[in-house]
Amino acid sequence: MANYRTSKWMAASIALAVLLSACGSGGGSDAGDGGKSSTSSDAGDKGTTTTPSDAKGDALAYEKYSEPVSISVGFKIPDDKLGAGDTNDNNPVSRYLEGLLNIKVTHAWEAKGDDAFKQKVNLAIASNDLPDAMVVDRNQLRKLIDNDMVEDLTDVYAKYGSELVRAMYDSTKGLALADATVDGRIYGMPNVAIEADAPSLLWIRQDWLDKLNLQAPKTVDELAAIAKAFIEQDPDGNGKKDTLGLTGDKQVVYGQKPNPNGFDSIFSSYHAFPKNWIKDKDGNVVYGSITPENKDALAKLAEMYKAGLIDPQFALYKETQEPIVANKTGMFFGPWWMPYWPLADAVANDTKAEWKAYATPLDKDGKFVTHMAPVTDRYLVVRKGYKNPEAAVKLLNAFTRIERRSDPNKDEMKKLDDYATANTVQNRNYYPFDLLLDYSDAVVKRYKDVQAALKGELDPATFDPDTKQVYDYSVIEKENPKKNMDAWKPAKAYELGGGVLATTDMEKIYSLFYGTTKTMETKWTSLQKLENETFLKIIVGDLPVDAFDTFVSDWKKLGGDQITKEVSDLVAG
Amino acid sequence: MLWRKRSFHYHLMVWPGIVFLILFSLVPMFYAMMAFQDFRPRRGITGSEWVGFDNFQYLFQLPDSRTIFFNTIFLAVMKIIANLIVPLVFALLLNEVRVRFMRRWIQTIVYLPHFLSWVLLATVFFDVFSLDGIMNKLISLFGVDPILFYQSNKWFPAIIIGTDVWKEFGFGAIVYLAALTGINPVLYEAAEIDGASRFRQLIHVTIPGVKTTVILLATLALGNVMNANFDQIFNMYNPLVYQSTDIIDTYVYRVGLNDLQYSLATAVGLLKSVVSFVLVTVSYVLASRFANYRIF
Repeated sequence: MANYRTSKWMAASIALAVLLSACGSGGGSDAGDGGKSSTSSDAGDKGTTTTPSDAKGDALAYEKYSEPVSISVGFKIPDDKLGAGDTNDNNPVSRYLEGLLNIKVTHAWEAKGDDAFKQKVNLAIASNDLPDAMVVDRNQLRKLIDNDMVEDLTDVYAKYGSELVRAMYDSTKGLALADATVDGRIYGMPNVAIEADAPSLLWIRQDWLDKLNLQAPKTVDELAAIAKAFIEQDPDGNGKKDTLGLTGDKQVVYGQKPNPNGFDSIFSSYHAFPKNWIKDKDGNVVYGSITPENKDALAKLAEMYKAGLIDPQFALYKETQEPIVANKTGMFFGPWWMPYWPLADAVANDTKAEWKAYATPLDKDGKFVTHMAPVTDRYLVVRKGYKNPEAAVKLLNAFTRIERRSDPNKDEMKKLDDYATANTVQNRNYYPFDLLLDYSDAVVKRYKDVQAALKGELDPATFDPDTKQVYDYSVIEKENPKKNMDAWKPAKAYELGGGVLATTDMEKIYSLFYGTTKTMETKWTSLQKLENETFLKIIVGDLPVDAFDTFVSDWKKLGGDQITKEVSDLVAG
Repeated sequence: MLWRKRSFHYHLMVWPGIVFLILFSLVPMFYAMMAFQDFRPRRGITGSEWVGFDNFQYLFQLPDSRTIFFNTIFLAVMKIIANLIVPLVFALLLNEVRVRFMRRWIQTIVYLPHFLSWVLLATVFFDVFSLDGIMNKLISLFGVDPILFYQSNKWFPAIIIGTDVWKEFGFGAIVYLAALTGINPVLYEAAEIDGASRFRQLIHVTIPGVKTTVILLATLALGNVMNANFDQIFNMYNPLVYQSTDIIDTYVYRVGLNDLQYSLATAVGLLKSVVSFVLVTVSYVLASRFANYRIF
């Protein structure tokens, strides 16, 4: 009897458990679906019934919905700390946008940091549970188009795209939109990266150089000599041997759009262009990481690492900027915008720091060589089936207008600026989408205009709002150096970074191909892993430099040859 | 009726576990089919194209797969062995401590790390083993040059195993301590009367007393031979030590979630599960034979 009872109880409890789990998942999906369908149908009804057809052009691009429309997005959480009471989805920026367009932006999910954001997007794609709109990268866009998961935005863009957005897409001569176009249809609103983002410059502590009576380096060897002096001669003057030489990143090179600490410029000074597709001497398409020039660059880096001139722990940092922010290093590579981040943090920690940028090292003919970056690398997409795809485009119009400082609502803009200054946040971090548009030659042009105005050759009153702001900040910084970091950031980024780009004659190497081929889909990951590990191990001395030759033949065998052929065909055709 | 009242709360305690099991272990089984498909999220599990064993074939061509299988088994086996021996020795030593409150204190302190998360510990150990960390300061006292522990394929696996043991041995010792208190004190009295020293008592009374527990734990641990602890390794490793510490789980994570190769990642995971299943079965047979342990 006891036995019978036990089994009955057992059965009952298992049954209940099954029931519970069913309820749990059922309830969950109910709620999810309910939420989604109600928002989209609400939005759909209202969207279709309240959009007047008489408005055109910019009037339509910024037109306020008469009934609230709701859109869920994936949001990237910034480092900034908002004022009291404000949250990531309810702050002055979001309130302004909602008031302007009557679009209620909700966050389907949030993620902090680029890696976490990328994984969240991947997860959303994998589980076929996309927010109404989000920003994706090139591979994700391709995946989404292949799987027919995103809306065709061609007509929406044609109807709702603002003058400003169009003008900036046009400044790329159609390249940006072409990147998100398949069979003549546009599936994503691309960002427009400025050309200036591609070259990686050498940032160096001028005050350390001066203290040790050294000249700025021109070649890799001079760079190595300075690294040695920075390590051994106690440039920070604290009596301890605690300074590092050149810092690096575990990716070794970024290849396209650099962040801090890439060795890109060292490779390109040897005419090696890892991670880019280039033409060799005979005009054949070849993958830039396997050319013999890479071996020279790696040999040099390995030699420097062995001598302790490169930060011994560069591959281990969780966040690459750690030694820079801690003011442990006096030299690193990075693009023109370094003063915005991480240098602003570094200078805040040590106000004596005087950073300068140089376009070095030079190649053997004395020329600065650099790879370039794709025009666009991020795309705003709208979930297939979302009823108001134009809401995403309208938001893009609106925040692009704020970012380019062309919003006519002066009072509101003033409030936003004051808020940003008072709380030291960047308003751009609170746009619903992390997708900036600019004219592709913007940095160099702004630098030249501002410098001319500072010399009194140009009247700043004639500037477009963006340039005017850089000018104003440059004036503030000039009068009171390092007092206002909000002014320091743009003033120095343009003066130093923009200045070098404007005055250096560079040899620019454009990659022939940025997309993905059939074989790449399955094999590229392991090839990249092989490449990254080999490069890293050669530099830190785990592998001899000659291991590069083995890497090249392995790379070709493991699918590299096939991929090279596919890329050649695509480039030729 | 009385019986029902008494057992009801046991069932209540089992339910959450069963729900968990169904949601996270049984439901995903269905999606293991992905390993035999060219999975496309939009088409879903029912609409994706079947490709047979293509993913597995590709898996075995990958130069990485040998490394990750070897690393997984190597690290897991080393951890299993170390996690059996260290807590046992520790429990035996602690059992000899005569001052009662000292025993309690030590026991409590050593099992505290068990409750810390690897995310936190990874940061702590990074500092301990960094170039100017405690470890390097310590060895420099003996005139040894600083070692970059975290990027050395020789040292890093040892760190992985060592830190894991450090975190878990206190907790593991609890089971042994329980077994030790279960030994009948009469046996010790008899041994003492026969003139056995403390050490003799250890050899002839204590160790035979915990032998079954040791064997049981060892055989049960066999089921974990494919689990080298994702949490720990994912938080501690870097590309330079992939060669020695990249394990199946971290690889699946990178391939599946970072690189969007769902089917390949599922294939790797499924293969791991199949091997684990065989090992669990073997360990159950062994456990029932040597330690008289039975589930059914």
